[in-house]
Amino acid sequence: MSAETLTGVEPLAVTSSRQRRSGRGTVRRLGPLGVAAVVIVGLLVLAALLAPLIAPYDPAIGSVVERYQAPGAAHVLGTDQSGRDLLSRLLYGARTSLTGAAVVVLLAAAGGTVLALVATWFGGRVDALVGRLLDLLFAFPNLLLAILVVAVFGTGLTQAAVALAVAYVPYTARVLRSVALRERRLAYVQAAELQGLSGFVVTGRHLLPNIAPQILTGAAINFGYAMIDLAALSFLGLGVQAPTADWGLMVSQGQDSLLQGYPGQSLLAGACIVVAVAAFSVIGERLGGRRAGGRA
Amino acid sequence: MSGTTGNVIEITGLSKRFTTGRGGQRRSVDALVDVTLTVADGSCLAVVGESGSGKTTLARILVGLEGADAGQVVLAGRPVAQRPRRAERRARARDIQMVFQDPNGSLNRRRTAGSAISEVLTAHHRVRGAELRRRVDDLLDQVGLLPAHARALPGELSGGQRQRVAIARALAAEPRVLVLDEAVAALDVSVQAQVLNLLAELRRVRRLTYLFITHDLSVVRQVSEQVVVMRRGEIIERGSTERVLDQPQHPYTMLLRDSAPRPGWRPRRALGRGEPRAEDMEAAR
Amino acid sequence: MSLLELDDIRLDLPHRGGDRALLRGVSLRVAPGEAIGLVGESGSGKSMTLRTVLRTEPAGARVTGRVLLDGTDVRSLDAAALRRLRARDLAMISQDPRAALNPVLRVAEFLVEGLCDARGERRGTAERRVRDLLAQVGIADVDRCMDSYPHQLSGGMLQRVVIAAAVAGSPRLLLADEPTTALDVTTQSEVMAILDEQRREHGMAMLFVTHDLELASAVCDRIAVLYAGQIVEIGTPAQLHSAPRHPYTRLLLDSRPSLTATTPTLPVIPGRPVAAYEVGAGCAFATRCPWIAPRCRDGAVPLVEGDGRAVRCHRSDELRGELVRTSAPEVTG
Repeated sequence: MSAETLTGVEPLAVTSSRQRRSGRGTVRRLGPLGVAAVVIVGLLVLAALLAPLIAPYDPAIGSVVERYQAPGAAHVLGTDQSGRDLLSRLLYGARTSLTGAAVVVLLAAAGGTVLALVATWFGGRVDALVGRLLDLLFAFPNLLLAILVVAVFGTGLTQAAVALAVAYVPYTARVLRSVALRERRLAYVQAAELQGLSGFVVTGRHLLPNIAPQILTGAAINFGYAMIDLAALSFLGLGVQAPTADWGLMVSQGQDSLLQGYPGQSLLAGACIVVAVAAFSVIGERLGGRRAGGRA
Repeated sequence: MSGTTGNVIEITGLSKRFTTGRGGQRRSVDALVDVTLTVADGSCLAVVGESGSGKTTLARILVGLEGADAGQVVLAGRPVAQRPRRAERRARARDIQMVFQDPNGSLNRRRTAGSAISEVLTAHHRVRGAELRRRVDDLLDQVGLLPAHARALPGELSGGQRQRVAIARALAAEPRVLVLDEAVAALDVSVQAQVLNLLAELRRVRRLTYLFITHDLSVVRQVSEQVVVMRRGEIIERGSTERVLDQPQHPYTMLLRDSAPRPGWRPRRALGRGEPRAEDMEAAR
Repeated sequence: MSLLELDDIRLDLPHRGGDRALLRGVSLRVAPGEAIGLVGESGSGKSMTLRTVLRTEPAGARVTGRVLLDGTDVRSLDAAALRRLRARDLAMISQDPRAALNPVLRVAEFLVEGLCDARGERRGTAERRVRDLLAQVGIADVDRCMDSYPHQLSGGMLQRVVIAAAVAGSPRLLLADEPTTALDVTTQSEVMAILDEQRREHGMAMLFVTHDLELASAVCDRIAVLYAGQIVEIGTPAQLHSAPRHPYTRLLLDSRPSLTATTPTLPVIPGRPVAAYEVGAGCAFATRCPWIAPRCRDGAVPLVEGDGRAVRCHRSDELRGELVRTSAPEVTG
């Protein structure tokens, strides 16, 4: 008697039409609003990339005679208090604003993931130690932490971004740790561990790919927060420094103009921030819902 | 080698205590208390018990996923380390492998069935390329699957097929002992019978030794020659499967047997109406 | 007069690439006080059948057919009437008792307030009744149990509390979905005994969903065996055990290892249980049936009643002798 008849082999259940790696599932999860958000983010990234090509003027140079021009043929969105073209400043501003947020998010995701995986893999005392470290970071309000860092290391986009990333790490790490812990308890991870494979191999081959969706979603949600926090730092004069174009800085510099009856600069930059933050939040939420490794 | 005694597993005085909670909430549970048992080469020992009996802890210590507090484990004639290091685990994995209960969690959902098997093959043998593929196909064939199943993701396989892949993965290390931790408990009745037959066939052909952990006495009867009954970390009865199931000595074994549904069976209250049961009172404390 | 009547229940669930059938015409009658077991493997539709009675099927499901409880069509009730029906006539016990209990309420609050709300009883009366019920379901230290939060109690204790809550309102129909699957065997025996006893004392009918044919046989008057979203056979436990009429019933009984005997190899059903939506034309079991004939592959097979039982198999008359289990032990009930 062959093994097949003895143990009743099943007919091959492998379906030929694989859904694997198909983009359809993602689109369905995003929904119409999510797709719109992706399109918006795409346009913003495009604007940032193509700024030198499509911006009609140099964003840093203006002429005093052209200050506070209303939107018109020469300046589509008008000019600011120094006579600089607002459209050009918004396009270049997208570069700093998006790059800054991206740096924050990348660093926070990397730091959070490493801490989460280390805590999960070693467990016990290491886990407890990481937990205490995160508690300590949690105790500091984000902006206060950023202000402290900037006070010590000086102002600038890099300093502000690094400081915020540090402040974001505990949020990312905490959520990812719980996801990784659940994954680690599954039999397949234990089966790999049983073979005496190294922690690096098991973590990299099994844990990391399976928590990647949560890392990604958390990053998308954090992106919005990072833009707001960076804008706040620029607004306070601690982040990007003039004359660099930056949306947060533009809101801040538009204050005086606002009082003089020229609200254009603050409103436009503010609108850009709101749209970008909303788009990233929608994407993050649609991709992962509450299980995401995001802030808050 | 185990030639002198004929036992592939010898466990002596194994104890393990778990501590949970922090500070004032700190509590400890004895998962294993002075457990001693042997498993003869090529035989199947069933370990029977309910939740909290320590049967899974015993399995995890045996394969090296957990360390013991006290006692000794001799595997294939070699004493194994209490707190296993990686290299030690790898060496042990060539003697003993484990099949887990959960058919959903037993495979990485992002990797194919074939890669689950080849991961273990490459961890223990120098195989690659065409030879690796041939060995994977060969193992799939032994558990009643086809070469095409190697390319399937776990989500494309049924529960029974996933458990077959998990068995193939365990066999890839060419172990002498398989620890089966409730390996058929989550399967449908008709699929469970298939997998039980497969396990019996594999044991015969590959001369494997099984440590079969289960709560199901009917399964015990079907697969094992020897059985130990565990309760709260202790072995309370042991002997040949027929003796223990037909003439149980310990009241708890009798209770277990009387609680198993079978033709003509009626559920009944262990101690009649209104009397407390130790487990429930303990949980309520 | 039946208490509950299911009439050709069909359920389809939207799925990418078209709807998927989960139930393909389930018909069943339950007499007052009668216990019926719904037995099947995964994907057979046993739980889904129960959910159509409670109207808790998954969102988006399309259900056709009638569910009559005492002549009232449950599926056409408005929200208020459905709520009244659930509070008065139906009780549900699920696999996970923790899901049925509010984690921040003590057992006493949960049970007493439940009685006060559902039946308008006064506090004192309700509390006395709750104490009575808890003692009846085998809880020794009633005071301590009533003072406990759900997380302080074991699964077996909790399931007893849920049973007490279920019978408290003296419903006419108890819906039990694998109520002991998550429990240890000794606790299962205890909880099943209590459930059975309480059901009989209160004269309740029961639909009991389980994958365990033996467990259902012990507490049910009749058993419906489901396969791929249909009832393939229905009869008393004794009828099914000694002389099953459907090949699937026979093989299901055979493939379960016995507590008292061993065989070198277990008889197996090849393949895996198929889901309702995977079934093509003809008999759903045709792909796995060793007794298959050409006519089994085309056309739907009707459920044919006779001898106080029913079977859905073209060949049940020819196979009658062949399907008898000679080694079947005596079954009471």
